[in-house]
Amino acid sequence: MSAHFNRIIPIVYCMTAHTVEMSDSLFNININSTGADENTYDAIVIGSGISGGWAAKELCEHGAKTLVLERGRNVEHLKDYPTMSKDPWEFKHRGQMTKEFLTENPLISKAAGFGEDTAHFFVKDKDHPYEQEKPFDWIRGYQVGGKSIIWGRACQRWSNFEFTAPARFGYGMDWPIRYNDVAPWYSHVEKFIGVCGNKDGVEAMPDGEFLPPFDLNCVEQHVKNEFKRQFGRFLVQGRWAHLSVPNEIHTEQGRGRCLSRNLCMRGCPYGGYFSSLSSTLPWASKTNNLTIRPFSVVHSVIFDDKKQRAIGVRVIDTNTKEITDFFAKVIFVNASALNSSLILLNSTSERFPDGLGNDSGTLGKYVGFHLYRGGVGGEIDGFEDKYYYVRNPTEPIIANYRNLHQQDTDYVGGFTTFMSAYRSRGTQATDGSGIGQEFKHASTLPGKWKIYGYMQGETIMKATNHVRLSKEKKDQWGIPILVTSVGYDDNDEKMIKDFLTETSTMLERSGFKNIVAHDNKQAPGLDIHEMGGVRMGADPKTSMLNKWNQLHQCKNVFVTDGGCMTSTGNQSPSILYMALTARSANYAIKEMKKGTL
Amino acid sequence: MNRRQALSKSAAVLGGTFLATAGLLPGCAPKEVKVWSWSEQDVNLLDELGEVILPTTATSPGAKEARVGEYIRVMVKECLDEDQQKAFGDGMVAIDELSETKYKKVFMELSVKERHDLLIGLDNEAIAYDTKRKPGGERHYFSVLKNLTMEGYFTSGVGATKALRYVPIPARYDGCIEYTPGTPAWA
Ligand SMILES: Cc1cc2nc3c(=O)[nH]c(=O)nc-3n(C[C@H](O)[C@H](O)[C@H](O)COP(=O)(O)OP(=O)(O)OC[C@H]3O[C@@H](n4cnc5c(N)ncnc54)[C@H](O)[C@@H]3O)c2cc1C
Repeated sequence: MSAHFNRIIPIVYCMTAHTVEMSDSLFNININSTGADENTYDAIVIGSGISGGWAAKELCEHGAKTLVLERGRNVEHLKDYPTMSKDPWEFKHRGQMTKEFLTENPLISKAAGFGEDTAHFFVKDKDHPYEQEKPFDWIRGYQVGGKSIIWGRACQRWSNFEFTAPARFGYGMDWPIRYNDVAPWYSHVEKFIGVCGNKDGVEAMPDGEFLPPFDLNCVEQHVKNEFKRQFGRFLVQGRWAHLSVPNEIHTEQGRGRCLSRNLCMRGCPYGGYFSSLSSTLPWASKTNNLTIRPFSVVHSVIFDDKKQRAIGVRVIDTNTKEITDFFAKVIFVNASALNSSLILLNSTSERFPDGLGNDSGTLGKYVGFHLYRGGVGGEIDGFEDKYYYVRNPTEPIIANYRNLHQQDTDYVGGFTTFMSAYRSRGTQATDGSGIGQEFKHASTLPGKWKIYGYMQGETIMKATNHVRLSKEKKDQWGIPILVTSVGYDDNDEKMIKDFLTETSTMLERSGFKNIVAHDNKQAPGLDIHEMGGVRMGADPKTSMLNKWNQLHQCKNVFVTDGGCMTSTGNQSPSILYMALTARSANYAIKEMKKGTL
Repeated sequence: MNRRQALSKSAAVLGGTFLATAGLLPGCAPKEVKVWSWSEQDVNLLDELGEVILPTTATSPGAKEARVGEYIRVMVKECLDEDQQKAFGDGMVAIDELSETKYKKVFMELSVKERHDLLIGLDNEAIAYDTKRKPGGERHYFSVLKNLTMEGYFTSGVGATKALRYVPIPARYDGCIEYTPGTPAWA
């Protein structure tokens, strides 16, 4: 550890599981000050997922002794991927969940990628209840690695259009930063995690530091040409966190080339895609500055009313429910957007009776998500002499083409579209039958080319879309459960309609038939891109965080997960969380060295 | 004596018409005999039914070798709700009933051709039924059987590796290659 950092005298609280249940008198307890020194670090990071992993990496690399607190169990890269190399027939239900499981877990079973092969990386409904004032599917992965194990890996950059749109078109508060502020940090992150893609020069989706892209297939290439020729719209190759061709920095992480199995969410035997388990956490660990503490539910950030600063974090052991306090100069809150709101709301003190740093009253408010309701499919004749070699682990992307320079629709915001073509399996049997020899043969052959596309649209963040702590209900750790009050609005409905019409038209004019446009009506949250609640802004009166992701009123606490988002944009958000995290961790290091933190 | 023999015996005693009309006579005692129990015989019957849908051919083994019966047993019992389970079991019993009406023999005793003809008829009936059904309505039991057979077969070791092309570790992705007619799809 670097000599620049001073240590704080730590205190340890101990109590029994029994007292935890009597939650009102929770912390009037005996103080045990032995072993206190062990509980003091330069930095504490709450959460070990995508953003927490990045905070840990940057902080550790710069010499900060860092404690990562993670509520879930430990998961070790490779060792704890029980299904990673299984063949389909090795799963009792060939990937499906049992009726009993579905009945007990109606919520989590809806999640993308959830199945018999990945279920162990998602939380079960009963274990982590919350209250939905309006329907909201909150999808979580509580373990070391968080949702980085099971994420979809799409990694497009935001453009300046998105950073400026809310202010330009008057539907939201302005961001305190611009694309240029994060561009170098996008590069920093891309180089390290490895993002494949093509430099397409599309203004609405800036190019990054790409590894070679995965091919388009022949129908996707056709679509790309037609969309460009007829509509001036851009379909580009997937920009995904995959090592198509690893660089030295990746092999140094112990990661290898993506072998296109496309079974990523089980954990990859080669480290072919980015997760904090395969990449940032082991990297941070190599510095000897990292301590990861699984089974550590963060209850709150401790604010010292005398020192007028945050001094540490209160932790409840997931299993024993024992309470321990940990101390540090800086605290990074990376528990994933809504959980970060929850922790801060639960961090009350004399100075901050409504939650840490919440003078503005905006904590838990301005929650957004991505519109995932629209989907379109179709078929195209021809191309029957063409196929592809097995599986593309990425998906092509249509860059947003709505409301860029000016508002050109009856709604605000834009949408990205993921679109992919494939050959279905099965043709018509030569004898026309639906059973028997000919039928069986026909069922083994590649059939017609089909296409699907689905939207990822911006939503408007507003104070009414919010989360708050339940006044009555607590979880098994004595922490108030979260109440979600997040819903759709009229802007969403208009955007969905436009997406469905436009995409259908584009496909129809590109030669597709039997086009089906569908609004799945799913609840918000199932997009798994929930954001906001601790938004960034220039003005402390209307926002929680400054442009460095510091709480305006408690500068040694940083929130760099999706909670910090001022607007939702329309790009897959995680790489922005990573870039913002790296940016603010480097800022924190600088300030610590200066002695201002 | 197994349940199927019992069934065929009672059918013989009562004459072929009984089974066809049994469903219309509520509370008719012999109905109890024909309860689907997921016994070994039932699972064997599923294998044989599956083999008619996806038979062994020159290029690959059929549904029986892929043990679809056992797969269907697990899936129906653990993944369908009780009403659906019951409808499925009743459907399987109905296949035997139909067989007895048409051929005066239970399904297991039919020739390969008879089995094929019987199920072709059921398949057509199921397609017609399903196209007419109300949105959200249950599908014909034969469609359920056929779907499970297809799923079970093509995700089995036999089906995936011998009928389809299974490449667990492709090591690369080529977006556009020539397709040679007649070669199977990727599993
Ligand atoms: C199936 C799926 C597909 C996705 N696809 C994409 C995609 O293609 N592109 C994209 O950009 N994003 C995608 N996402 C979203 C992405 O996973 C999240 O945006 C990302 O993981 C958020 O990072 P995070 O660090 O904020 O949270 P997480 O990765 O969820 O990590 C948060 C961690 O904090 C821990 N934690 C929570 N509360 C506490 C507490 N009180 N105390 C201690 N620890 C706590 C959790 O256990 C967890 O480990 C997808 C997600 C899923 C599930």
